Amino acid sequence: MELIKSDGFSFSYTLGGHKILDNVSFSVNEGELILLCGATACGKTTLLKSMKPELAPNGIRSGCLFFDGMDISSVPSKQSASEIGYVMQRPENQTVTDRVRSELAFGCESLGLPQNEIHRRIAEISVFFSLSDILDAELSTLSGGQLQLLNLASAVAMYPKLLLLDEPTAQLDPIASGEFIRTLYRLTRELSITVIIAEHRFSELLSVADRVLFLENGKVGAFDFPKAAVKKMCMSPSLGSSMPCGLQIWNNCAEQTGNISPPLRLSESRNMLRTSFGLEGKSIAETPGIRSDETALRLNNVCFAYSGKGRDIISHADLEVKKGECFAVLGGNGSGKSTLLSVISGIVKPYCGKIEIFGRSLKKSTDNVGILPQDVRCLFLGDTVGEVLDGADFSDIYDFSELTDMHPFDLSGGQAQLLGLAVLLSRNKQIILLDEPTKGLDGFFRSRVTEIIKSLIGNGTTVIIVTHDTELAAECADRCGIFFDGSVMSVMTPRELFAEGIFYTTEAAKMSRGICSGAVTAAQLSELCRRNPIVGGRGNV
Amino acid sequence: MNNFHPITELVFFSSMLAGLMLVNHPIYVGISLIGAALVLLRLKNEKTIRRELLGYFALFVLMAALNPLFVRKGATPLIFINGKAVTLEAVFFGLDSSLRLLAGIIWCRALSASMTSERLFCLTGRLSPRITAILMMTVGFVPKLLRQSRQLSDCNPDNSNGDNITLMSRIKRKMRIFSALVTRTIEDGMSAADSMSARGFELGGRTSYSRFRFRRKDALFIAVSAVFIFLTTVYSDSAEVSFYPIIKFPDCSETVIVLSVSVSVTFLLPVISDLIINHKKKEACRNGAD
Repeated sequence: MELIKSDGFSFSYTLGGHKILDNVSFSVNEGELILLCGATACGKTTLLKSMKPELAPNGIRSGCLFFDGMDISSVPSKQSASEIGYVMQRPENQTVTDRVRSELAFGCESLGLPQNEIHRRIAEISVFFSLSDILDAELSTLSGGQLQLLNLASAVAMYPKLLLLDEPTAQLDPIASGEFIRTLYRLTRELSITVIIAEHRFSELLSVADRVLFLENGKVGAFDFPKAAVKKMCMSPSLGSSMPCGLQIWNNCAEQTGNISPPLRLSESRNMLRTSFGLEGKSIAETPGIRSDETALRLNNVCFAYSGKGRDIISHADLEVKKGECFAVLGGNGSGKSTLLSVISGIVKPYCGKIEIFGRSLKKSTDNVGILPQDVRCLFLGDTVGEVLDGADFSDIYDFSELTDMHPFDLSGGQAQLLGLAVLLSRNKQIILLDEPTKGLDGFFRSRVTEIIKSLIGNGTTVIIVTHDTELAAECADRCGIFFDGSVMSVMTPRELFAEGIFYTTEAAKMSRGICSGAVTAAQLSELCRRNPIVGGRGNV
Repeated sequence: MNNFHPITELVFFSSMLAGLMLVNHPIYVGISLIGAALVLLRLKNEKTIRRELLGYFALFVLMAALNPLFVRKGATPLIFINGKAVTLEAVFFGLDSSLRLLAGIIWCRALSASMTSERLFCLTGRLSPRITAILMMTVGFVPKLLRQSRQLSDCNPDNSNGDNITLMSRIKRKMRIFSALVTRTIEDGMSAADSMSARGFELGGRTSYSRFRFRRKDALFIAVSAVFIFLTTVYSDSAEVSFYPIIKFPDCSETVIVLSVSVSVTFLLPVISDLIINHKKKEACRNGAD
């Protein structure tokens, strides 16, 4: 039974204007998990919002959208509110009450359900989503991952038939993101709820999705099973470079891998490496990092806690970063990595220990340190992009000329991140701290940010990055450390660190462990594969 | 105290305050004051509450002292200041009225300690679910605003451009931060509005959910409070103490006894029941652990 059907649906904001969606046709059955993907501005958000009458954008439409057999515009408002759920990107902006319980009850109250019914639904939903322990907690105490699960739970409490999600894991760390996607999978399998999710980071989704809808410039590039859709996605100019590592290799070395199906799982990728390439014993030569002897930053036995009775967030931390070095700090969510940056930049003061910037204590030299916060919008103090940039020229970062009159909050995530970097660089600091610079970015902007960081290091700026993105650390960092138990430990080069770990490691390293050594980035592994094909096709299994 | 339905609490505290307004006999007021302090300590047994109570006592002394200095009515002068008499009646009236005021303040403090935002929303939800939803958002909004303001201030320090810090640059920076804060709030508000309308906020017929259940003991306590109010209304006139021109106590002392007993019963019931329940819980847990 088709739940959602689109028949030549097109949308543009003005008559004769640029078509955001162009002749999009697809149909989705009940209980399916559909991955909606495509580069930025391909029309994903517009399509999702068009399927939710309360949020549908105003504009010129042609073609039809059907929900449960009815035209979407004639679905009664009570039915569309309860049967179509919508979850957006930022967890904190979607909650409207102050406690978990009342947030779960919000949707049910809107439907006019009696007390007993709401009570029962809250009981069911909190058990399904494992929220029973925090039912009376205040929302300000929850993490991003918990908040996003709460938003999902609040939508599911209304007993929807269809769930629409617009990049829900963009602001989440990898663990929370994985948990969220597994919960979505459970919703489709256990409750037969149809899920359409738009995402940039879709490597995990590719292996669980029933179908993939790939949009390119508003048109349907592919609507097919994952293995078939992936072929077209790898070849598209807009998405090709942001595909997961295994698929990129599969596509780039088509002569060797042509006879195997695209690898969606880690095991399939490893199998592909073994069968299609002769990588045994091969390794990438280590490139020595350019490092000076001058110490840019030194932390000595630093301790910090938010309150007198609270536990130490930073406990006897020692760290030494040389001038011109790029140091990446990895670590679990909530471990205190961002607090470490706050301490280094002087925003908060440690209760013991010393911090030295270029040999002088932090108190005298806070203007040597600049920080790019997790929420980059904190740096935008003007009403237009032009005002924020203050006339300075940053065309080497990004072409801001077309955006000068726009409000900074109207920029896309990637554009905003680059603007934030521009603002930070205009302050000419010698030590730059970046807090999750690639969070929620798609392939193009991610690679832009990586290039800018590399050029900063080339110019001699010291860069300290706090991130979950192991790929970024592998590409930019000279040394990496793991923040755990209040201090930075396991300080090694990316090559050493990623070869050891099973979680703090890159996709390329996971794929090549035991097969070859030294390849921690996708580019390195691709190069190695390209240079070592198996002549004749099949190698030893 | 945590086990009562909010409506019971509202009725209880209103009846205590109403009693204070109706009766001015010092014995009654004294008992009511002790009751207020007991209930407050039961609700929030912290060191700050004890310090607060001491502060209230100091306030009481101050208020009691002010009355005889300004009011010259009364028949029995004690001392003469600046040619004006400070009378005994004025002293006692001052004591009595500040005692009443103090009791009222402590009852109100107890009411605010027990009426959390959740309980308040339970009550307003019965009146208007939509207004309750908006109130809930407001409660969450203020801490969020403060957090964002601090974040903006941290990320844009005074000397971010390496220039000298002048008063003008500081003021300019604060104004720009405020403007950015307002913009962000509006922007975030729009996302919240989208989220609300996606979950059907614009549909009519909204109900309100609260986790508080109305139980038998709620009915019992409301009945006790009702009896108390009835007795107070009936006996308040005959228990009136007049101070000017001479102090005159009421003729029949039994009305005072009736009023005092009824107020004691009313405020002691919740306190004692709370103590009993806690005791039972500790006993059961200790026995269970054996």
